Amino acid sequence: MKSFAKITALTFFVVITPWSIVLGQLYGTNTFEFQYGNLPFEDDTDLSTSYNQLNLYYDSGKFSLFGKAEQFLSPHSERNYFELTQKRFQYQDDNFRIRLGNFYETIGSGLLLRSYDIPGSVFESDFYRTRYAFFRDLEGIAFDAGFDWVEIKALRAEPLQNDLPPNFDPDSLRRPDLAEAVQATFYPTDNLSVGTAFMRVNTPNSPGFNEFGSLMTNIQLPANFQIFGEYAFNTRSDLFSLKSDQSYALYSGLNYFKGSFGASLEYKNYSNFRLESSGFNDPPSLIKEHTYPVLNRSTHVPNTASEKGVQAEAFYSFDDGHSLVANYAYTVNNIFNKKEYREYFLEGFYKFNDQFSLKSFVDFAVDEQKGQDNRWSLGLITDKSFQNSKNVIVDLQYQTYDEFGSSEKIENYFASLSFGFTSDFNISAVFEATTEPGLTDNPNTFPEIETDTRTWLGFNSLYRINTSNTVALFVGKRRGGPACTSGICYEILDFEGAELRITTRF
Amino acid sequence: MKVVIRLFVLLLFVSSQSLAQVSVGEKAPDFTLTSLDNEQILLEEFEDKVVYIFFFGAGCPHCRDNGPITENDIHQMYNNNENFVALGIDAWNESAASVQNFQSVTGITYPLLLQGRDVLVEYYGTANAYDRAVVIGINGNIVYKGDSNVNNDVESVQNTIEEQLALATSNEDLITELPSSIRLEQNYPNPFNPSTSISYALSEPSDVTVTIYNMLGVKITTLENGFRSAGEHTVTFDASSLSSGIYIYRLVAGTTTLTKRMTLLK
Repeated sequence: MKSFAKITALTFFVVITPWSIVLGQLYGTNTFEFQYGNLPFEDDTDLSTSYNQLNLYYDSGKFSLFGKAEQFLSPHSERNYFELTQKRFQYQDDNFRIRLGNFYETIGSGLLLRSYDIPGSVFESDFYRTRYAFFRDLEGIAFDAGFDWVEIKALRAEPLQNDLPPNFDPDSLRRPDLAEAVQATFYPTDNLSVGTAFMRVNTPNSPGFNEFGSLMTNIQLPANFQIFGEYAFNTRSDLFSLKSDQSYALYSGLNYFKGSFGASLEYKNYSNFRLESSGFNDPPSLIKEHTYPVLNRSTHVPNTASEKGVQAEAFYSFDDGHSLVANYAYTVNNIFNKKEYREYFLEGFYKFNDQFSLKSFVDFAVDEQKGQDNRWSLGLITDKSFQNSKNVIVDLQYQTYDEFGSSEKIENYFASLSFGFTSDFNISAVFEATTEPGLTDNPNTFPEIETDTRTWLGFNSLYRINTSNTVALFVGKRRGGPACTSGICYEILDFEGAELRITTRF
Repeated sequence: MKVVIRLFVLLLFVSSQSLAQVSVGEKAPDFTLTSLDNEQILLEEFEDKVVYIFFFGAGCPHCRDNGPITENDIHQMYNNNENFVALGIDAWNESAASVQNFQSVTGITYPLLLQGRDVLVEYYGTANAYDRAVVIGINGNIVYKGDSNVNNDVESVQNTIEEQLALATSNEDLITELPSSIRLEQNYPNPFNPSTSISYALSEPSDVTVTIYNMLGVKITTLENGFRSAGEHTVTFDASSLSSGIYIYRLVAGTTTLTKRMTLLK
């Protein structure tokens, strides 16, 4: 079966592609990444590995085709693969669309089903040591249609379990679940939408089907208020009971904006709502996703077995370009005992003039799940532009906290210095240090537990050759850890060595 | 053209990553891992015990939430039973300091074993099946293998452990009831008139004869003759037709012969 898929892939790219140019529009992207180096603490010698990802799009009127081919090569043959990891046929008319193959779709707010693609990300687990694109798509068929007063979508597909590499055998374990869903959203007025969804899931090791329903609404209120919410539930549970032994997810929010001021308040209440076995639903975490490295990796991953919480955010943009953002998030998990996550965040952006700006943040958090108390994070980022498109960015960040069971303060440092010579060429140096015991300790030297500060120093350069081609080079040590993008968190591995990435559009 | 064909063939036959796993009813794969207390833990050391295994990742958020369940609803419940053992295995291969932090946050008191991802893969076939519970029965076979997070199957795990512990206890009772060697008890009452009971014990099923002789060595009667199960047995000797005196009773079980005397007083 795998050979058949490969033959299909090769046929698609080698035979059909040249002919298709004549009939429609063919375009695509290619990402090639070469690494020489290894994971820190690995006994193995440095590896030369290459990863290539080709995305081909072909449009011809209402029809379109898409294919993603990935290839990984390393000295270890069991890690290598060449796979057509996505293929899609699509027909789109004015009011409806049919997709066959691999696609992305979300039901409601993601309480029942959410798929995603993190473009440009290359995932690697430290067990399989195989690199591949990080996405969670659906494989099957989807139909959606939209009219003035109603939108309908229906799908029958298998979500991807993306922590197993493309060459994992048996392939069926990468898509263990079958989901069938329909959603209808009605727009009786311009200011009101109400929707409902039904999903049936067949998971392995589960007798019969699990069935879920969902109700959702979005109301535009007077005075610039907007209220929205979704309630999803297992059909075996008591409707609206919201008891801890029931299976449901409730997410709602209130937005307000006027002029340069905006505010939002969100609420979540999840109970027994991790949809096994691949966990393909992603209810909103309601924890601010920070772009600052020291905070981005300190995120909270929702536990839909039992999680309640709120998030409030307010921002104000001043006339002269300054801005202020304040965020508060509170989450409590009550699986066996109560564990709280509480975070206060304040960010200011000050624009001295068109050529000099300063951004700073301060954050305080308590994370009982991670065992972190009194976690303070601070940052200061300056951006100075010069004539001829040159600029210098200095980014300094610091974090400290008390670890449960330890009397010593844990510290994290981040410093980055970046030079932009033109808008097409920049270089940067990134330094990081930590005293986190889990990171300073080498797992291979037990019973010795190293506590010396661990450091990373890496150098990046990026050169845009033209609008179609970009070359990026990294040399040095890169700190890994959890990374979150668009509400999706995944683990990035440490790396030590050199990495070259060439991105091409055509 | 040859190059194209070679490339084609090469791409078709790049290998895949496949790993086997064990199922319920199969022998639990053995392992040797180092605990956080720097002790070598061998699964085979727990032969004849019910072993509960919690596969966790030290940095896994769900495992941190569910760890206290394994401690309080599993370990604390059965910890007093000498036939029960609980083990935690870090399947994320994180540093010992990370596992120490995990132990501190979860309050787990049973042994946590380091660098156990290969064990997880051997049991589950994949490296992503952490936050799972496995129970190994007294026969060394897997009797329960969870397929979802451990907070979802506490009751099933408890039921399985209790069944296995009951089995272990009944086996123990059986073992304690079984004699360690063949015994021939003194008859009771002794002296007797006119009947008495003769008890003997077999450590294993055997062909048995119990014969009565007088002091001259003349066979009086045979009380037992046949295959008997292991355990305690009693036969009655009626001496109504015999005169007072000393008699000998002899047990032959397999290759073992035991003899005792008894006194008939009329």
